[in-house]
Amino acid sequence: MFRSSFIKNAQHEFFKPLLLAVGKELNTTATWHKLALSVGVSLASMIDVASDVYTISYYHRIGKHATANLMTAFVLLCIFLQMMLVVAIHHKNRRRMVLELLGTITFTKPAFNKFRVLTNASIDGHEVSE
Amino acid sequence: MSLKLAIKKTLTHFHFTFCSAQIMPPVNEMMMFKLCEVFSESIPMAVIQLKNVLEVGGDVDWIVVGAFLVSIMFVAEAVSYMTYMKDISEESRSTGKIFYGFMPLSGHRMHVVKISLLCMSFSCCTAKSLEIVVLLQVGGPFLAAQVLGADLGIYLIYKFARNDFRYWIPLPRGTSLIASFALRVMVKIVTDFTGFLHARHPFEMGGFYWFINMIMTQVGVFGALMVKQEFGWREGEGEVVVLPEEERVLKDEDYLKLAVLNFALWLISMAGLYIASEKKFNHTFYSLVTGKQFCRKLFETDQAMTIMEIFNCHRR
Repeated sequence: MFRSSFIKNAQHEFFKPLLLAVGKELNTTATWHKLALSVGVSLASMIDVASDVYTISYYHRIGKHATANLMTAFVLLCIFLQMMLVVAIHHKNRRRMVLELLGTITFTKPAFNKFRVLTNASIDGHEVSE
Repeated sequence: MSLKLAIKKTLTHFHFTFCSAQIMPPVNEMMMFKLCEVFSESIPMAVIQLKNVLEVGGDVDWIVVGAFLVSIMFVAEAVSYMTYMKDISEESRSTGKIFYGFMPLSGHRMHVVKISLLCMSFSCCTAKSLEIVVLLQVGGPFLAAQVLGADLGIYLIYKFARNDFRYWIPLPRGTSLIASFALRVMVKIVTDFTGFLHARHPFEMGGFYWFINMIMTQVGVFGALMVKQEFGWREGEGEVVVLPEEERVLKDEDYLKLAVLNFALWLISMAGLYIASEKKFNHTFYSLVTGKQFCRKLFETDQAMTIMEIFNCHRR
């Protein structure tokens, strides 16, 4: 193993930079697979919320209104906190902030987040909570 | 030129030692977003749903049971994925080499670590939810709040005592302490319920407290069950209607079986995690290093990428 890599490095100097370039390309390229994974995350988030909504309606149906109201409050609190977080991070770029807020209330933001992570998206510079 | 660089380096060293601050890369943004969801929605839902599932009578709505399992699985998946992505991200491994890297990048060990992370989060969420539900059954919301509050209080005192309370995110003046309090509480609760492995980072709980916290979560279930055995169920009031034991699907003795099974799952997942993760990062599971000490160590690694990160991202 060591011998073969030594020979490769010694005889073919281009080999390591080539692999590094290929690796970087793989890490940053936007592919259909990455898009599908991102959409999957968003769908999982939506299923989670949908199951919560069903449970809330179930407790209303059987008369456990306090439990149902408590659950509703937690769902709303979640959306509120996520919106606050978006404002805190993106307040220096108003257009981006509005887009991210829209993504939050439509439960599509997890997909954008995951896609940016999977494609190693670069930082604009406005994403500071300062 | 070199003098200018030396002055800049010294100033940054001072800044890095005494004030911790960073920009928000996409991985961190995703983590914070998921943390919000787990903290304010998935965890409370898991507790409420577990309570109802444990106290349900003859006719079970299996969609509600499914919704409970979805909540727990969502928590486990979200937390293990966050830990995984943060550990393997290019940014983490290039600028945080002294902490990130416990996750093997290929082979069977990588799969063992991933499955262990999932099982550990699943086990922690079940354990803490069960503990809270049992406390609610014994003493109502007041007892549960007291126990959670005491646990949280001990953690905050520990952070203050080690001069490690202020959070690392740069925030507007005057909001730092309040935001630090909120974020510390949030991370503590999320870690209680999920065993969030990234919380062992010195910027969060630190390895030592994370490990103690994990043990406390598991011990807490058996403690709550002992209290229940001693004092029994509280009287029903308002909407609280407690079905007689014979009408419930899960009997009281089943709780102990559930707790033991869950504890076994936790032990196996911890063993898997410790054995399969990269050996040179095992110390991060019980390290006593604080946020400031970590910053200093990071700077002293003297790696070009890390120093560039400090120049580019740390503003104060």
